[in-house]
Amino acid sequence: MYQWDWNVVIQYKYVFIQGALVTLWLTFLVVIFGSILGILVGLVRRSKVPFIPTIAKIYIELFRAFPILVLLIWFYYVAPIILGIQFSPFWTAVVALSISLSAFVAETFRAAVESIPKNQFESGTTLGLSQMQTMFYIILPQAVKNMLPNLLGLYVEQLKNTSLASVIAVGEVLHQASTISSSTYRPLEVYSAVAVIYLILVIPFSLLADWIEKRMNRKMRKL
Amino acid sequence: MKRILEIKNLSKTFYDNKKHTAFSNISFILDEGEVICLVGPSGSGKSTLLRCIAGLENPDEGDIILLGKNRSQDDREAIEDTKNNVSFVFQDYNLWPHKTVLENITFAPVLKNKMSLDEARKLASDLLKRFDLYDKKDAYPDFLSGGQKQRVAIIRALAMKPKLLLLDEITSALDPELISSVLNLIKILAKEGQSMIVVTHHLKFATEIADRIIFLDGGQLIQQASARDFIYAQNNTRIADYLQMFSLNRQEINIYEGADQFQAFQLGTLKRFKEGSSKYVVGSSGDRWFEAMGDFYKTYETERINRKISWRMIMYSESVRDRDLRLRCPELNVYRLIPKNFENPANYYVIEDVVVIQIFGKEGDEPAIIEIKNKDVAKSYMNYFNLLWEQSTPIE
Repeated sequence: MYQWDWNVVIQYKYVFIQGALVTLWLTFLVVIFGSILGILVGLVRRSKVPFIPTIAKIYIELFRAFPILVLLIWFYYVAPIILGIQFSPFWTAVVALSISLSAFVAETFRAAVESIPKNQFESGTTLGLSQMQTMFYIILPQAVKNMLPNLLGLYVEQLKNTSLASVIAVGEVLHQASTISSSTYRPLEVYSAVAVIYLILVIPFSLLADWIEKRMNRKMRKL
Repeated sequence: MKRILEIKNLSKTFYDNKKHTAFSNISFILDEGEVICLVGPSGSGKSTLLRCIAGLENPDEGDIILLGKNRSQDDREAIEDTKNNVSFVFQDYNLWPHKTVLENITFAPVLKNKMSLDEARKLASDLLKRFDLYDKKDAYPDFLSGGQKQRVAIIRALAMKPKLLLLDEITSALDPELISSVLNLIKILAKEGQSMIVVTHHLKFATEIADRIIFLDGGQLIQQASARDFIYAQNNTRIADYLQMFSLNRQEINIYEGADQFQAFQLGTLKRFKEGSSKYVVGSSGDRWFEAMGDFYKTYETERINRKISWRMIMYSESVRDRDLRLRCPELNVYRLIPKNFENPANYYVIEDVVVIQIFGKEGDEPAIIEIKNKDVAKSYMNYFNLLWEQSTPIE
């Protein structure tokens, strides 16, 4: 019978906490960069200049197709050789995950903008606003509101995806855990602790996403 | 007079699945302060024409000369001019749902006309107050009725102080009872000299505001005429057919002459009064009413008392039989005396949307009734009744 010994978790609690913080920090950066990049790609996708939208479409399809793990490893091993830039593992993870997220955000953004009636664009034009002003002040706020539920789903997903960064030795919670586990030979306790940490990190996010979605539905019903 | 707009030989064709001509070879002019109504069957190209003028669509051929500048070439400056001088109101309002009523109105003037926020707020508040929407200024559009939304949309367009206001079937998406509030606003603007081009299906409204009516059918300009000539001196059979489709006046006048018809009418209308309601009567006829009702008076009175329909009557003097009734049943017969200097339009009463005018003539004449079915007329008669009621003194 296996003897559970939770001392190992208590003994290394600061390492776990540090790992969790890295996970959060990584998620935060990915969400910020990924969203901004995604909306930019989404805007480019709607551009009226010939061929430009096609490039955006290729970008979106490409990075949605790649598994994130492949993307991470590619950026870590191949990009430095091709591009001549060597990022730290952490920033490699930020770049790879942001690009992956941006492709999904761009697609969500496209759907959200398309759900806004064409007349809303025209209402800006007829009041003298330029295309850019209409997009920025009239369409974008409505689009972001429309895409919020999907977006929050993508963010929760992202938080879980950061665990993949352990393969390129980013010191997030899973990577820390594997280090502890190999030095203490207590994988059961250590990985159980990791599972609990992910639960603690993800559940508030999910609840928040649910709450916002419910709130918006209620508001819709009221109309 | 300043020329606002000149349209010369304008044509537009769509190539969706097959070639489809929206309109062709349209020419007309609009001077400052003029109102032009574009009317015609659905699909006649009037909305597309309006959208071309607004710069939402590009015409294929012809010229749009706005404030002396020709815009039909790909001229960025001229397009900017259009944006600054022309405002467009849509059929489905197109308010911005994420901004309050006030923000909807102030946004473009602040961003585009470089108005200060305070100035824009004041302008918006003034407009909202004028059109009775000030209490909605902080509401979001989704919480307004259709009529309110459309009025806000018009105010939003007006806040840009456009030289030309384009209205595209602005009442088509509204419930009938909400339409008048929007049309009244437009009538006020027309009186104030706002230059407008209005696409509408409300012919009566068009005749009230338009300096000229332009009739389009199948993308052709069939006729351009003053509102008066268009409706009353119409010799084009195609247009005359179209006009017939819309009864210009929803008003209906019926005349009932002779004692028989008079009695039948009175008994009939009594059934339309709800139990416990009041019949508002202006002008008593002495005892002529009782004479006119003849033998049916008893039937009428029994029915009336059974269903507790009260008479609220404004009169110059109380006749003997009136007095009998009042003393017998004071709660069902409430009378008031009009001051002598008041003009009494006729002996009339109002039931729902109908005004009933009772005519008794001289001694010995047959009684008659003029029935006018018109919501507005009924409303104004009812208002006059209320005014007289306030000014008169109770008989006790």
